[in-house]
Amino acid sequence: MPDIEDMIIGLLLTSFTVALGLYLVTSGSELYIPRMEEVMMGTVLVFVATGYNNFLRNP
Amino acid sequence: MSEEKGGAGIDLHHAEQCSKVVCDASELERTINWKQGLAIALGVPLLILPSLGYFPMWVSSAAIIVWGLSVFQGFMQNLAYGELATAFPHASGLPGFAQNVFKTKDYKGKYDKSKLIGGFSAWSYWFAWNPVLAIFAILVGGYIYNLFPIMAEMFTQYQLSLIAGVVIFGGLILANYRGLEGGALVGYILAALSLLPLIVITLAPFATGDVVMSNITSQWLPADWAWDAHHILILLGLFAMAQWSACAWETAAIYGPEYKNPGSDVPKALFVCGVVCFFSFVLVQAAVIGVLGVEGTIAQPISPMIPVAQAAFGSAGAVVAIVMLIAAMVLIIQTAYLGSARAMHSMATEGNLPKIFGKLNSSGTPIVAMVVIGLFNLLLISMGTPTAILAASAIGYTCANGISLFAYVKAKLNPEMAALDRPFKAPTGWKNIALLFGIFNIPLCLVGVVYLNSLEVGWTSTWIGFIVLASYLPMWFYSRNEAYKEKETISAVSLVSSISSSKKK
Repeated sequence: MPDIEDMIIGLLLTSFTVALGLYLVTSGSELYIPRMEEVMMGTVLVFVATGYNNFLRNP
Repeated sequence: MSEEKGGAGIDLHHAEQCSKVVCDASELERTINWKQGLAIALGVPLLILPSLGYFPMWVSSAAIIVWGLSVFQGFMQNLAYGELATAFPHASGLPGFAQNVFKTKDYKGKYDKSKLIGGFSAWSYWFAWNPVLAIFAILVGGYIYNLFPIMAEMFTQYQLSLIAGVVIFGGLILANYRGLEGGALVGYILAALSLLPLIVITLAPFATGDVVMSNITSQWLPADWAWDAHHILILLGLFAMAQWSACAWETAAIYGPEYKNPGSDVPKALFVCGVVCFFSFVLVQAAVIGVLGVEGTIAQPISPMIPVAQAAFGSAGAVVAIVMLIAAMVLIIQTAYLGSARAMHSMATEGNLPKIFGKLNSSGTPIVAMVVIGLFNLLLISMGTPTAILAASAIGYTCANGISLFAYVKAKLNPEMAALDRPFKAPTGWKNIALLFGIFNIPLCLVGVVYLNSLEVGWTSTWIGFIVLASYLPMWFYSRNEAYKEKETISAVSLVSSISSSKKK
């Protein structure tokens, strides 16, 4: 049985992380995070890979 | 069952079975037909009011199209909810489905991850409906302020909103103290009546020729609109906010178990509700932009229906029409108040919130929940603009919808749940559509609405949304501890009694 619960937690965390990152990147926030775009993209990739592994490849 | 009824109408002792907005769990027998299901959802188009001036600010006349697409999204989602409603007849409502689907059977430990997700979905749904009170209290204050100059001389708009909140919430607590007068039939009639003033004010300017089509067609999108990531995120955020209003007719779907003939009543109710909502949302926004133009609509963020009514009926007629509209808003507040109190009581009964929120007075009214909700909404009124509150609450509704759609996918994939009897079934393969719209909600719309909030009202809405949603975690851990201790005490008592009875023998 695919673990939908893990997928939901992953998607919620991804959403909040990406939303926060997008705001920081586009709003010219004074909070400087080095290589923000790469950090965000990496986070998304980790979540997608985890989701793929748990939900689709290894049900 | 009748002796277990709380007060005059709603059966709160069975509220764990039912946490939808208008609900009478004592009538889970098949008692309604599709026309009554339709009547329940007829109050929903009133939910467009807080966003009428806000959407054109971002997408000009295309706001009309956004509303239409959002109702279409409602069609896609509500078919899944209709099926869930008949598959889980004792768990009506989005919070009920999620709490039933996401719950590990015979879980021995304290903290069931699955139960946390179900409870979180219910909490998100509660947070989606609960601010209806504050939003419409602000609108009532705003309409009174702009309609009666004498009031505007005496009070500021914020003061009037706060007074409206105190009077309406306090009045409703008193009115419901001796039992919730929430009988299903009364609910249907009130919901249907609340649509009338909105329809009259909307259609009149079309009849009198005050709707100028060039006001709509001259500016479909803002001049600086581009199809880049920034604007697409804004659009996703608007869809999240539109969903809060235009998909709320899930109320017609979640009554599934109560339809006399779910197989035919559910699709009929859904189809007619969808059509009514589609035309209402599209026409209301079209009438406002058609009469006032895009700029004129943006200039009236709180009460755009006043100039529309004045154009169609003149000043005196507008006063009558708007007073009727205000009365309809109070009805919506009453509906949402009962629904929120019920959802809170349901979560406490399920062990997903501390027991205190489920406490009933001698008349069966969840008075603690009602007072907490009233105070919380008075606090929300201080945010000032209804769209800021709506934006925060849309975060909750997006989470609730996303998780409920994933619940549908799980209910189709899990062999035990898939075998449940379903008097109404969505078309074959609908789990893929549900998965698609689940992902549209989480993460796409969720990211969009957070982004839009941050652009429009700074971080206030987003933080309020996050803090309210996150506050669920400590409450859930507390209530799980509470439930676990109670379970341990019961097993210890039963162990002692069995030992003592065996000694006697």
